[in-house]
Amino acid sequence: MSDEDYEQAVNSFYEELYRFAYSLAGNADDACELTQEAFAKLLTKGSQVRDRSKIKSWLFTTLYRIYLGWKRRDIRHPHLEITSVEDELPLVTPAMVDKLENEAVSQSLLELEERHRVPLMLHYFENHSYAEISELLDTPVGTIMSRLSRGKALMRKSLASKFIGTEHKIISINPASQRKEV
Amino acid sequence: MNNQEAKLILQAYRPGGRDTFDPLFAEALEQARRDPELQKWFAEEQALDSQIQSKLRPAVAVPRDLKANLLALRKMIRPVPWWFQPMKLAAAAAIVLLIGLAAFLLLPQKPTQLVLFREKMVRYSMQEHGHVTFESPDITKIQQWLQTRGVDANFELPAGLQGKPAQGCRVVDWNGHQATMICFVLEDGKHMDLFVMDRAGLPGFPEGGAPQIVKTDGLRMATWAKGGKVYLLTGDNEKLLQQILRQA
Repeated sequence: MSDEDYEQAVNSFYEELYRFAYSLAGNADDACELTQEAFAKLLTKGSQVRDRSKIKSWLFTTLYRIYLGWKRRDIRHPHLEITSVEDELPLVTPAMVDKLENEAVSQSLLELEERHRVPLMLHYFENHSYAEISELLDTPVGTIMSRLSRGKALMRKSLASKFIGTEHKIISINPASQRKEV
Repeated sequence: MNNQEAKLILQAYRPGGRDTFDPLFAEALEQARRDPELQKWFAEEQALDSQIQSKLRPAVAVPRDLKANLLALRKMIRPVPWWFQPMKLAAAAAIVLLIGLAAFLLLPQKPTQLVLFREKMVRYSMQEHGHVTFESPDITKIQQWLQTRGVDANFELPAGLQGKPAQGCRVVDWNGHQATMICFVLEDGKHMDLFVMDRAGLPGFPEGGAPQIVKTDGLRMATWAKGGKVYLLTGDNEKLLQQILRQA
């Protein structure tokens, strides 16, 4: 891969790729590392991508595989799960969301389980069609729609909870304090 | 399609217009046009999604130094050599088989793993964002921190680094092996990182030899093995690196 091609790929995709990595890893450090690993692979194996229009999907798929490799080794990414959701929480409105800090909204998304968080992040950042999301996550479109719907419901309950000033009880299945970073 | 099914589909429809021509949504959109109640629900859903989206995008800001780091990778990573490419590898393997399997097996391990190891560790060394996970100047505290995470902290600092205050440490991955990076900022702000990994991570690397020194884009890297561990020291000041290695 020529320097020009590489630079163009960085310029075109690094922000989207970082946000996807963030949705997987849930923190900036790991997201940076995943993004760097994906681009490092592009440098070493980019010649395998004969069709330059496929570089974007190649980068996303490669990053996702790197992440799955990390997960298989079960060495990072605390798994957080909302364990109690108040039924009496108010319905979330745009005005309520407007009053929340950006970080509080982001946190509500990051609290979700990965199977809900990742499709939701891809949904909100709008970089892929649903056919592309389905291919990237190797999951049928119907399943992605169901997860989006469930993810939205959970996220809205978390937002409502933040708005009225209560917090969900969150337990860490793989506590961050015991997290092994690799 | 009933309204419940239409809602499930329409929940995925994004307000920015990305899905306008996606046939996936055509029937549900048409139903929303015909049914005022569904249309009202859809409008509210879109408004809420837009609001969440407007909060979410700035919250996931891309680190400022990421692009520069990615562009700098070009200077550290070379393309995979032809003998790593599957098609050419197959052709080469056939030739090698003709020469003789025995001769092939007797060839020493390619230095490629070491080169790749150096390249990957250098990336960690150059990474400014999240450079260390645990900050402490005290090596003993760093070792305790590593032990509580089940990471082997039984390593020996080069004599030239012993007693020097550290900045902190981080545990990184090399092909499934844990490598510890200890960051030092020495006199006049000179930055050095020491990586330590079990020698099982680089099985062909000879133990006990003199440090192997290479230079890449102004960065110096010294690699040696001792006591079942592989050490890699990186720094941009050759004089200081040599000084530390002389004492090693």
